[in-house]
Amino acid sequence: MSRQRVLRSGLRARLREEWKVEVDDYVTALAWSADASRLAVALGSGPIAVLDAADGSACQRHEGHGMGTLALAWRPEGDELASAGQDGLARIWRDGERAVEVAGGASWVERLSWSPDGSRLATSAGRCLRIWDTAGNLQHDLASPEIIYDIGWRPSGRGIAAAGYGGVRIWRWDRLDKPRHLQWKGASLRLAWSPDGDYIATGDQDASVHFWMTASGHDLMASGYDTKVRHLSWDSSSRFLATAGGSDVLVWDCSGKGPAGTRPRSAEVHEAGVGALAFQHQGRWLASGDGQGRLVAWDPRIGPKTVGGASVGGPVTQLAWSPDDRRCAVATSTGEVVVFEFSQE
Amino acid sequence: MTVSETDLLTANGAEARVPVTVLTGFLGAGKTTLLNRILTEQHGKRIAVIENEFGEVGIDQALVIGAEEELFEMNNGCICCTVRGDLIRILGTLMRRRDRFDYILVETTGMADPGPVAQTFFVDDEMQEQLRLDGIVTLVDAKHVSQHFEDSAEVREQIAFADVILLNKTDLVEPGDLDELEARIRLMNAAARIHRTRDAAVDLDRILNIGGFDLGRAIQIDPKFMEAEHPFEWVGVYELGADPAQLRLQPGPDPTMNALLLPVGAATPEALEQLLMPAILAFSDEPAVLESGGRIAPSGLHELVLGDAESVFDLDVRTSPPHLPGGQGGQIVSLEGCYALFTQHLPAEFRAVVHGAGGPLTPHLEREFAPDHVHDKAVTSVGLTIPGDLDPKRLNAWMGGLLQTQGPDIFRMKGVLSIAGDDRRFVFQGVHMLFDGRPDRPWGESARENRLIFIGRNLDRAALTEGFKGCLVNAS
Repeated sequence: MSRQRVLRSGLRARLREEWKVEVDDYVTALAWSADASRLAVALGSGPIAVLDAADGSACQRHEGHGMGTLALAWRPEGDELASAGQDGLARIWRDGERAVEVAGGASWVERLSWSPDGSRLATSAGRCLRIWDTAGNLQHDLASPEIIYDIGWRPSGRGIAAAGYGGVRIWRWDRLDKPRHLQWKGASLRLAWSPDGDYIATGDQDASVHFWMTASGHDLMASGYDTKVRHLSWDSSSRFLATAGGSDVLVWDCSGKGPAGTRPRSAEVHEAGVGALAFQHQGRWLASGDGQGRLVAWDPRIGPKTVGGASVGGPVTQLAWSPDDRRCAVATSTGEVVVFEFSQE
Repeated sequence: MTVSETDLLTANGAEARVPVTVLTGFLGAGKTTLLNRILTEQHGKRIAVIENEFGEVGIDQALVIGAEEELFEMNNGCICCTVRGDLIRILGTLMRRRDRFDYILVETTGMADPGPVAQTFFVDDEMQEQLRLDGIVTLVDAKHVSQHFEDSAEVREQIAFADVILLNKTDLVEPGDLDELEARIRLMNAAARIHRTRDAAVDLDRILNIGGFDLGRAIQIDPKFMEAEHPFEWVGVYELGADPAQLRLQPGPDPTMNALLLPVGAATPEALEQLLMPAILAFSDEPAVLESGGRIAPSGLHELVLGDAESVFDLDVRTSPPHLPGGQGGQIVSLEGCYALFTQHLPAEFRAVVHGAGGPLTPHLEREFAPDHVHDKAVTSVGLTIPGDLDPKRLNAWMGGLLQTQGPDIFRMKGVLSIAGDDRRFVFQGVHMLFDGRPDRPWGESARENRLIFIGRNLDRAALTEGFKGCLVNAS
């Protein structure tokens, strides 16, 4: 079957297992290097394994963070891996060596994010949001009155947002002393900027999703989830926001006048709680994995008939598309890391 | 284990969720000593400890994680409650290392309100799925706690919330004082198990996996604490009627005292027990004022006015038929016989003595009741035992209204209910406004009745009793 024909009739996702390795521990983070050659895997007890993306063989193993590694991020366009954990530290690994080590400001460094151009690294720990250069020099030390649950760079790189109890705060580099506060009386657990920067979406403890319009500060709220909303992902066109709370995957359409008054799309594909979810980086496909090890991919523009699936040996905790969107890596709480080749049929 | 619990169990019948014990206690009560024991002694249990007051220390036998207190207001359906965001975060992360421990112990700071901690386990779906709040253990400094009863809401709440209370530092307190303290704590929380400890030495099985929030064990409360609050401090049973008798009192701490005389079938504890409820009801009536020289008839409540000298009241049971409790009208009874004299205060406070023709009479039976004034004004337990079947609609309406208006004041609530038309016991428990209940095993041979206990602030026993009775199917 020629590739062209597949694309033309490509209505159904196909996930074919390429390789699988056992890492014998809860996988807390998974990240592809920018060139898609390596996959970094963080474990609950602390170590970080860097695997060859071709076959899963180990390239490097770092001791990681004592008490547990919480976050991993490869530098965009670069070859450096950043990690953060329960030892209160963030590190940058270069050529397998620890090149930089910085203190996050509280006992756990929970979030880590490179600026879109890869020139700066943001870390959040407790109420501290710190911005570093690639050599580990502190650029900005920002304080939030509330504990920070998630962070996200403005897609333009001109600012950064932090979510927590009380809503979202956005800092702009030219007005650091006066962060903008998008106020909500509840705890926002996850934050995601739409790629065009028009929206900030949050997933909330009180089983809701908020859409903040960044230009006006206007807030739309979607409630009715079974549980708190722990997973968010925008598609590259900024049209769709995929959300998950419990076993529901709901996809909101922000085209036209926005999501107000619309009903979300759903494929009702999971019977257990969703543990991870992500849109492709450029493509239209959405993948999600659940507590029973079921992995599915579908195209929300077309609907449930596009659903294709696979399964892994334990509850899914992590899911990451390769930078070229051709592969999808999944990891479980039981220590399985599986890479699937994605195609349409 | 009942069938309805199976959804919480794994395929092999084991409870899959990790039990969590919450340890509370005022500063200096001995929490650190207890934690050190848990972390260093060879007790063979794998316990993850979440510590609130100190930094993070990794110890072989247990994981210790420092937690920064963070309160969330959270909307949970129509009710709003406060939960601990830090616990959700920390426990969520801790559960990634599920294979490393069998129990979790969460230490709270001395000033922490246990309410949000407990609520966290009921409103967060992730917590509910993986963890089971097993019990709240409160350490009490036996030497100093009483001085905090008045000034510290935290101390009262920590006691009120507890499933287990460790009365610690017993070596620093006289045994008599300890008994008094225990009695006082009992009045605040009638449902907790109390253990006396020294240097916080306690068998861990008494604080771990105790099932404090287990519905099946919802109401394992010592029945004697389910009894009503007594508006009288003393009762004595005398044989009256053959000869004239008088109650003589000397001036005492109060200018008046309420007294009630009721006939009792026999001078036995059982017969007396049956008389307690009618006596409590009579004490809630408006008393008839009686000056010295007056007659205490065996019906209705009297307020004895006590003068500057000895006051004397006739205990004359022969001149009028007694008013029998329970409306036993038309029944022919002998006027001579046993009578119970209930007094608002202890007779010793007024050197009160019953005199017969031949001098002072000794009661055949007497009993003292815990006096009202040692009740903590803010925190009490109200235990109700009420026969009858409940109308579920009325119960829902009443409970809903009660929790909305008094939810913040009701710390804990547990009970077993008899629902009309259901042959199973209905067990429930609640924390503040959160309520959890389900049908349990069939009543079988045991008598159907409603037993429930409220532990909280500003609880009005009469209103709770009346409200609850209004939920019975035969209520008007």
